[in-house]
Amino acid sequence: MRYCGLFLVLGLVAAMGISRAADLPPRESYQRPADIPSPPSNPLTIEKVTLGKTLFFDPRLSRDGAMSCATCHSPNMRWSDGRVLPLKADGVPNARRTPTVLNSAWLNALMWDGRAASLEAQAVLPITTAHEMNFEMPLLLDRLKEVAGYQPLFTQAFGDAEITPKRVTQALASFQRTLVSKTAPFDRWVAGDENAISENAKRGFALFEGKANCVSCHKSWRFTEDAFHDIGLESLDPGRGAKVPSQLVLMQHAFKTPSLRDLPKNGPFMHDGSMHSLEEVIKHYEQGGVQRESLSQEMKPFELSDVERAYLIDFIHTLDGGPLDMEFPNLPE
Amino acid sequence: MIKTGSESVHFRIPVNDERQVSAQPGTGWMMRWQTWLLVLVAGFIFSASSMAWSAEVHRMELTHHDFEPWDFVPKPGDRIDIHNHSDIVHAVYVTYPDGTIVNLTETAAQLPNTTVSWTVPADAEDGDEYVFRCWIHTVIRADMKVQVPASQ
Repeated sequence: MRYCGLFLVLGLVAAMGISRAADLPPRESYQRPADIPSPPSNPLTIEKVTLGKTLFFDPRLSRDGAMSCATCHSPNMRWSDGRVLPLKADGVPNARRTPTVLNSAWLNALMWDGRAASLEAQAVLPITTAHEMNFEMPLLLDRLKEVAGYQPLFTQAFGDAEITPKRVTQALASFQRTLVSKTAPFDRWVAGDENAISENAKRGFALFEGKANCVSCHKSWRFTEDAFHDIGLESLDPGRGAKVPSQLVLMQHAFKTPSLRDLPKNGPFMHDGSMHSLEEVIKHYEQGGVQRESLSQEMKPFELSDVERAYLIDFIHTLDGGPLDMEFPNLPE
Repeated sequence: MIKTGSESVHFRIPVNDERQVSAQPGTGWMMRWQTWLLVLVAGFIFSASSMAWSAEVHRMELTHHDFEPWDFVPKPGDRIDIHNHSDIVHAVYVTYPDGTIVNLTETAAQLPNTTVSWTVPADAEDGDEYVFRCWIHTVIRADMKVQVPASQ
């Protein structure tokens, strides 16, 4: 009998622990994948990645030889450019912020409006877009053929030194597939390390899945469901609406849900770079955005206290695995 | 009982017409019998030459970000019902082998707990592939290969 009190106390403590654990949403759906996917038509090889990395950092891929892919997708800027709008976007109607290329191996629709269905298809777009690298593929191939140092790289990657548009885009896509977010505190918590994130961040996670319902769009280990939504920004940019049949009302002003991993500290955020703090972003969702026919049905206003908003931000910070640094390649001559 | 008055007369005009048609009962009956026979024979020949099987109705379930596995093989003329049992809106469209895109709803918004339908074209050929995707959630995809039954 003398132990009854002790058992009772232990039982209560255990029950409290179970109850607290049960308050948090399950973590399984956030587990990182073990492997990087690649399409059967372009399997990942070290040789293609090496070539792709060289091409990615080579400014000779642009007409004036001054801009490489890495100019706007810089390792130092979380593989974006940290700008509200990209370089050379002045005067371009509906210009959009440069998205990160991290974790793009898992994307099935690329660009803010989803107009590219694969990394291979996407790779050609910045090269040939007038306000970006502004080049033409035939001219680019001619230029690369003049660089003797590229021949062994193409040979190692594809078996011979022939330079074709397909090989260029396959190599670029292969390199980009290897750009994967580093393990973040949240990942360690998902893996079972209870102390990897703070109690406040755990409360933020509960809000993320609960009252704020961010999870309705920011799902999976990448914190995006790769879908398109009009989130009610003031921007007049039609987004995906310009790429799909006009009767698809919900796609007007709709843009791809970005990942929440490795966000830059002060933004810019949103497709138009219009917000500069996570607090501003969360308040936008609380208010529900511009009410219009195309507004996503997931946009349901809610209210957070200042403390709750801070919890949510603490949680989002746990998705940051730190910069994915990379040594710049030696460009072939 | 014969009614009088303009209303009754007006009402009876179709009846009189019908009587006129059947004024010669034997001939009318023969004509209708022959006509129906012709229609039946023509229908039989047509169905034998186009689809020697009966169309079926299949069901697919749409979750948040995927189609649940399905185990049917569609034939030309089959109807496929797609039920959205998630709690989010979807917008499914079908891409035909020639690139034609058909939206399954007029506004392309399929609300939760609703069903949309698509019928496999009667002229679909064996092995034709129709791809179901969602405009909103591009990860959703179902590649549907049509099989024409061997009896044709």
